[in-house]
Amino acid sequence: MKVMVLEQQGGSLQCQERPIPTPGKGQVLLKVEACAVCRTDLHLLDGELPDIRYPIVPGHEIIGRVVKCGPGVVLEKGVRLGVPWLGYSCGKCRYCLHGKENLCDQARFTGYQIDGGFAEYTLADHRFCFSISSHYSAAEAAPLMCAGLIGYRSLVMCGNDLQRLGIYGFGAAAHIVAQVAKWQGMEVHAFTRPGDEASQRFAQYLGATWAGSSEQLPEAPLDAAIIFAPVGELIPLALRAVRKGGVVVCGGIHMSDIPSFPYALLWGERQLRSVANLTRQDGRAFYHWPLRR
Amino acid sequence: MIQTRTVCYPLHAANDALKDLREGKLTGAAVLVMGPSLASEMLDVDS
Repeated sequence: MKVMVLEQQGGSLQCQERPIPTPGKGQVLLKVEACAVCRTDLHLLDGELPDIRYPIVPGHEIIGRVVKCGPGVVLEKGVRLGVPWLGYSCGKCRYCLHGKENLCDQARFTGYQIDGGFAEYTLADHRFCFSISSHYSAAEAAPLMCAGLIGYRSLVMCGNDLQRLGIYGFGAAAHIVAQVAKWQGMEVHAFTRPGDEASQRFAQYLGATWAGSSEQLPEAPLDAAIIFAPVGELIPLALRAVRKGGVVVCGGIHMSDIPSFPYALLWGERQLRSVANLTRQDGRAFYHWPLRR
Repeated sequence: MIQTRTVCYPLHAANDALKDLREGKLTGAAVLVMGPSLASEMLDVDS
């Protein structure tokens, strides 16, 4: 089978031939139909994440069909599954036992410590796979596996009773969560790089109330803001844009250094938090969502 | 129903997908697509 492999930090991916792997206990062998490309893959290429296992096959937004099951797995051949970023958690630690398996110290991640979906076939622990609606083609469904899920988890972390949501960086995750937010009745304010008119038009096409430069302030304070762009300078800008008691959520796995900013921007019980990875419960909550009309 | 906007690439063009993502050229999500079924939607850098 063909795989795209990252051999070392700073390199490009190399196309290699490998034998099709055999599923072990609890694993399924999937024929990959589609795999979305995530900004996390860029952080992987650039060596911006710790403990990368080289060589590694990136790709953690996988849609594939079951070809073969390992011992202990009973799934029909041809069943379509999605494979997300979280590929394993221990199930025993304080985090796993309290619904926070995303924070498990023993967790391993697809396309990071486990070979991922930039390949014709891949292995996955069936316990961490999701069923995927047939309403989507494989290519359409693939971005839901990370961009959609991280966006959804970020939105949940923004809290309840939101009317005005800001989104900084309007890429894959933003274009999905903007639709969720609109469906929930929120005003979406999209902040992009200055001059990125294509992204601003795209945001407005998807129903954003306002779209403009990240250097601008909204007409009225936001209830919450999600930052998807990996740019630390956006944090003080987003804090400046949210109301007292508002929340700023950083949705990315890596961000450039945050510049110092006056405490006054955080004052007023504003909150700043990150969102790390995902849980399977997030998946169950989110993956029935896209089919709601 | 949520719709995803995708730009599709063949597997061997993964580096091009990453480059386009890095340069902010994408609207929506880049997706590597294996197999011939969506060939008409792909950006094949060799063609």
